[in-house]
Amino acid sequence: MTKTVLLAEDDRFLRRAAETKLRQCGFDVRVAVDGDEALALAREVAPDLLLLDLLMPKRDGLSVLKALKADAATKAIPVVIISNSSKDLEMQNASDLGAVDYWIKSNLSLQELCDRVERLVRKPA
Amino acid sequence: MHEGPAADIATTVREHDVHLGGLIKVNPLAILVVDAHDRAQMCNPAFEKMFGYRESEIIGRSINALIVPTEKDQEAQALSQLGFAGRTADSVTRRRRQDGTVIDVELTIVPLNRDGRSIGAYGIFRDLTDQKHAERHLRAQYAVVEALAHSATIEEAAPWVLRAVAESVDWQVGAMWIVDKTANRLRCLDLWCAADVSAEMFERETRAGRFPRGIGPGRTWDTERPAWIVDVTKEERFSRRQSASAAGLHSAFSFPMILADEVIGVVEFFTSAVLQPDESILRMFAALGRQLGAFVGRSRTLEQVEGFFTMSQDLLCVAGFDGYFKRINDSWCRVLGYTLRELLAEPHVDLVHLEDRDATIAQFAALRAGGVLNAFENRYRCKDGTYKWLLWTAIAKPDEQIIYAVVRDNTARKLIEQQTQDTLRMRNDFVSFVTHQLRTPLSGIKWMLELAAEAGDAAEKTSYIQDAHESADRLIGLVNDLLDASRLESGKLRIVLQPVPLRALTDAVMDDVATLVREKGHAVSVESPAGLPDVASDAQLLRQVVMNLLSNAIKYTPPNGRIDIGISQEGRNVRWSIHDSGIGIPRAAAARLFEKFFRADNVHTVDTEGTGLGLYLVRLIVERFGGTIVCESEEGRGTTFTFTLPLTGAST
Repeated sequence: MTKTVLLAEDDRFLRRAAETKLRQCGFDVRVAVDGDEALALAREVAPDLLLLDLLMPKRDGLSVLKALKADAATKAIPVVIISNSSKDLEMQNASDLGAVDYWIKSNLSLQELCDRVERLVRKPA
Repeated sequence: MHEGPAADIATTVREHDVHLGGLIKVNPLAILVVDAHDRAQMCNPAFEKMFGYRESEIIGRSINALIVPTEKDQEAQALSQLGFAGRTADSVTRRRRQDGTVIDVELTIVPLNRDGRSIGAYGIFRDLTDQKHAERHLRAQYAVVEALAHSATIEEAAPWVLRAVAESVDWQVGAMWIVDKTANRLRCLDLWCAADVSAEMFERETRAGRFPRGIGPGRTWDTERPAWIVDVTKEERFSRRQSASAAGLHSAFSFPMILADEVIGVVEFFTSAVLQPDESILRMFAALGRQLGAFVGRSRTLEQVEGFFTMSQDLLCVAGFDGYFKRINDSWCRVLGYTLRELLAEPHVDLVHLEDRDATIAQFAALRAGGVLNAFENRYRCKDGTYKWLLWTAIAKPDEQIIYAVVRDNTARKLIEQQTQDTLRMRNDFVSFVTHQLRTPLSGIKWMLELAAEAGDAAEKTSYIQDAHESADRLIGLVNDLLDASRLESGKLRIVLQPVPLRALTDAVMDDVATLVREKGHAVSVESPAGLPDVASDAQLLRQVVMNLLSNAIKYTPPNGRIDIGISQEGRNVRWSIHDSGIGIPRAAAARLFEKFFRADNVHTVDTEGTGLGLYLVRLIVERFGGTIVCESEEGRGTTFTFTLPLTGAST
């Protein structure tokens, strides 16, 4: 069964690249360009994984994460933070709020990104 | 005519003495027998020894003329009369010996009767010299102790010590000398002179004297022991011979002041009498010399400690357990700005910052209980209302109920610590911000190239490479901004000011952003009077300013908004302003708008691509051209940025 990945990323280049690669790897990819959209789509499609950027217009990633975890309907959605910030405080906050992982985009190739997503969503529940 | 009765008296006394077993003859007290006319009739060997006369020399002579000093004459006659009147009398007085010296004696007069008739008297003398010396010694000691106790330095004590000693031995002049180690000379500290002596020249000479070892008082310095000169006016080696003679001074003695086996000074005394060396005086003053030396030692030690106390840049204090300062040094006044009186007047904890007061009270309670205070910091209120950080090291002496403390003004260091922390935090912020800003376009380039490498379709490949290019441009733009900021900050950017037509420059920037404006549906207007003079600027940098302000306006104004640019002349300046109908800037953020990497809280609601460098660079550039920039804004209503630049030729 095709797994659905929700990609929340405001940078259009990164969004395009990640979306293209994830599709090539066989995921059903949905994209959000800001925090509000991310929250709405997560509720709507209940993805198998949410790749969530932190610095986004309208609503930042941590706020989206908090809202999802506070809602019984969405709290089970696994969330991975994808950011280019390596501030300890942000990593700690993400972990405290229930993110399963924190990836730094510039340190990953698209292939590695796909492999990691693969491992997470194929993992037996 | 008197021989008969006189012989009778002597015979009678001798007969008595025989009966008494020779008691008079062997008596250690000097005993003299006189007739009713005070003429000596006999004396015992003890009398001969005490007065230096042989019995045969005095028999029949008026005893008063022989042994009574002139000033005691009347008193002696009165005493005799008592004896002749049949009464026993006792007196402490002085008598003269054959050699002219005067001795202190206790004299008892006992009537001598025969057949109920007074025929003469016994005079019984006890030599009080030793006792008088002991008393004098005690008196001098007491006076010296008093003088030293009330003086902090030997200079202060000198006049009192000289006077006490001189008066106790009845000498008329005393001088104190101190060793000046630098000059290697004795220098006169002070001279005391009895009121009844006129020794002006001698005093002048003494006070001005500087004696090396071995000369004058320097002889005592050299020999390190007391010395006696019977008559200085006859002493060849005594340099102040003439003036001493003029003052009527003769005998002198001196003794060294000794501290730790070293002579540190010399004391000398002079008298108008010509006296043989008196061992008891010399002995007495050898001890005094050591006492004075020890005092000088103590006062010098105290002086050194006092010196440190006064000189210290640190705040030194002695405080009582009652919470009041007992003693503080000037540094307290210098650092806190209060007068000494003000600081001593109130419990010192009253000046402690309210936030530090409980901790201070607790720390001092522990200190009083016998603890120590180490590296404790608190804030003290200065007279001007500001606070200073004080760093305490203190110990308590519970027996004396006092606290000794060394306190350092740590304010400057605290400030540096604070600044260092701020700088570190800023650098941290800078590094993490720049890291994030650089990584984003870098990831874009990296990912686009990865896709391009795998793409089979040529058109698709080109499209990925195109995006990689754009990301690279963004990265370069960011790096350039950072570089510009850094150069402008350090003042290393060399700029040649040239006349720049601001209207034309604005129009050119408008052309560059035309597409962006159209996309967002904004209406942009530019207003300026004809014949506007040029500004003194650098076209390239000024273009950056205008571009930045215009793109901000476009970016932060919701679609179909209004943007108005106005350019006008204002005295020697040109004023350029841009008003938008955008989201505005929160009041708190407006103040920090032109800071490096500052971004208002509300910018993330529309955009995340800003570097936080734009307005910072704008300010740096405008200021570099001698201009100013301000921002007025109302959140939700819009923003106006206005910069002014000097006209060409207007000197700044």
